[in-house]
Amino acid sequence: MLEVKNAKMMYGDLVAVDHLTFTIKPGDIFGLLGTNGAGKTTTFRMIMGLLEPTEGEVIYNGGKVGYHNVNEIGYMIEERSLLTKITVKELMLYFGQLKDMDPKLILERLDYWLERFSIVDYKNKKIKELSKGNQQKIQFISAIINNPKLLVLDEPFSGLDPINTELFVEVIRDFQKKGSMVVFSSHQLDHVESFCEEICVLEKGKAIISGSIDQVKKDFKKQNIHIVGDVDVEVLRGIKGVYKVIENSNGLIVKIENEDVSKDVFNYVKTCDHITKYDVEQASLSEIFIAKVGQIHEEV
Amino acid sequence: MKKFKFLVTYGLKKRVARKSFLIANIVIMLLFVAIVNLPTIIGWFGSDEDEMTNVYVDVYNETTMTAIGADLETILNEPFEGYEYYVFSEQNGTFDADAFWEDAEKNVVLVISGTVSSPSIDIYSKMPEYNQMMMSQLELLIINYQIDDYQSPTFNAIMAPDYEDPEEEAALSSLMSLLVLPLFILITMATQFVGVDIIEEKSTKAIETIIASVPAKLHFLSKIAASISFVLIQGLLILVYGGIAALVGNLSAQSGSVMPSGFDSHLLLYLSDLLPNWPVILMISLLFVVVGTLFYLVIAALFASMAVTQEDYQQFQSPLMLMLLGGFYIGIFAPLVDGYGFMKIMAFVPIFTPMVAPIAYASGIMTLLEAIIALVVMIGVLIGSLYVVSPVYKVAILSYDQTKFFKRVKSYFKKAFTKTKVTDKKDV
Repeated sequence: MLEVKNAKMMYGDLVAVDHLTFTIKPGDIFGLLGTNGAGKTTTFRMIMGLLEPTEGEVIYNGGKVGYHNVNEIGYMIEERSLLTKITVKELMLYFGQLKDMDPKLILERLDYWLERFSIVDYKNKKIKELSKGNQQKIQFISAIINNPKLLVLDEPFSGLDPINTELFVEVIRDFQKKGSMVVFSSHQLDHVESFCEEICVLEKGKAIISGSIDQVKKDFKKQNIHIVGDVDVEVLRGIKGVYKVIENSNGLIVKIENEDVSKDVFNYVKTCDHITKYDVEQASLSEIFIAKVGQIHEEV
Repeated sequence: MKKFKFLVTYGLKKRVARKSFLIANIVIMLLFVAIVNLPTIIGWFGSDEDEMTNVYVDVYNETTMTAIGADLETILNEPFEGYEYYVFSEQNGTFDADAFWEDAEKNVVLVISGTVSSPSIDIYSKMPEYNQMMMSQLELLIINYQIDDYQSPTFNAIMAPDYEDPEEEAALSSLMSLLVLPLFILITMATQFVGVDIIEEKSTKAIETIIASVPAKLHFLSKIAASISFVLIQGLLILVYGGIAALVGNLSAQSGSVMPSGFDSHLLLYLSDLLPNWPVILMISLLFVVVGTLFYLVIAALFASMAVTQEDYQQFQSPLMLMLLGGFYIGIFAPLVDGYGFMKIMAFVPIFTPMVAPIAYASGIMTLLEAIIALVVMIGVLIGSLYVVSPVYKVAILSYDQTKFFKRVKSYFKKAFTKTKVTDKKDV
């Protein structure tokens, strides 16, 4: 289990992370979200033990993260962190042996992952010769080559096309099934929503949203109603609690303040003709993110 | 320990198992063979000494062999192969040695005394390089006077009190080049390698993945250890090249190369005569190389950890390279301009010690005790620099601060020596 307890990190007078608390259990996928400079990377560095919190602590399986348990952790940083002048094989042997792995085992696992990511031909190619996406795959492989029990991924989907993103998601889910803890950051909130159970949204170092995605959505209260049919948009806009109506080719999206408003909307809609769709949905993570972060910026 | 061993081996392999290492070593070997056999090479192209030198010889003859001076002049100036012309003049009265040493015009004085059967010849010479030739010719001449009672004359060669053998000076100068050049090459190579290695990992951000797996201190020490191992391997190879150069020199001497006067077949043989304590010099030099290189490596590693890009590092390391170059020039030129005092002082300045102290000791400017003191000072500075640099390296290696150099340095030192919270992961 990974526990971040009241962790605070200061760089001089700047508070990079402000009393952050969350817990990740084996088999959990935890999403750490936030705008650029929100404190995600600093949090990852604290988890990895590269930075010691100014206050609070990070506990991994009952103790501190140290070089005694680093071999069971996989870490992928946001930017490319590859030695570009050496080959894929040489790089994996280097990084793998830094985790005390046997060279034979490294090569066996490398072959498996190269096959799975469909880049077998690149084994003896220099990193600098690879495309951005393939470099990202290599970096990902370097983080998982030791079959980590804790996988820390900073922007793992950055620079990937949808097909490869799906491939990464599959692999992450495989690790989840094996009981590994996964903590990752991403700007692609649809991916976070699709396979994360727990999230934490950071803004200026503070957790502005935290908990299970379902709970976060429930707590957010605002909902969306998807309507297809002959309705009067102006009437909808006039209903108390409706704060926005968006018209698009698939119909209307009515944004409401809370669940109670949906009754009033429904009462109106059932008087209309040709209604083929009436669907009440919780707000998307993206909406919650924008609303919460925007609120913080407005307060400032 | 396992990771440290792996990092050192990895770093060493990265340097040695390369084409560039092979090419560099071929060049170094050729350079060595050329330097050590420089006199032979010069001999192939002939000598520049085409000006006639007049040798003025005064003869104080107390024997009955009255014509010996004139005869010697005739013999020495015939068959006129050399570039010296001997001008003999017979002198009466008593020879005054002090006056002769102060007389700028006279070069040699022969004081011939004793009897025909047992002559004694004192040679007062400001040009001792001609003594041997005069002695052999005098011996042949005296046989003519002795008829059937042949007795070898007794020769006594007397040099000026302040005489300095030009051959010895030339040899010492060669020694400077022979010692300073490999020192300079080794320290420069090692400094470059450690810096480039660290900045390569840092500029590609791979350092974060590496430091997540091994402590920054271990990473720092492994880089130093890999580079010093490289220096030792390269140093050993240079010694082998010295041996090869000597072998080539011997072979060329046996094949009858034309040598300029005053030189031995190759410098190494000559230098071994000149420096009978060469094993001690070699040992002291090796110690200075190891300790000095370690010191430079520590500083280079610090600069590399503070740099963010390759360009940054090139700028940061410039002062270090200038210091190295300064030591190189002091080592070579200070003895040539009689700057012994200056050289001795510089031998105790740690940044110059690795380059200057071995030369100062080899050329007799420093005693063994002084060399040991300089070494102890250097070791002290090395330990001190390790103590200071190690925590700063831990702070700087994961930082991508791009503020101005001095501001950056100040900030890293401040962070390192206030209660640091950075990269303080426990190494269990």
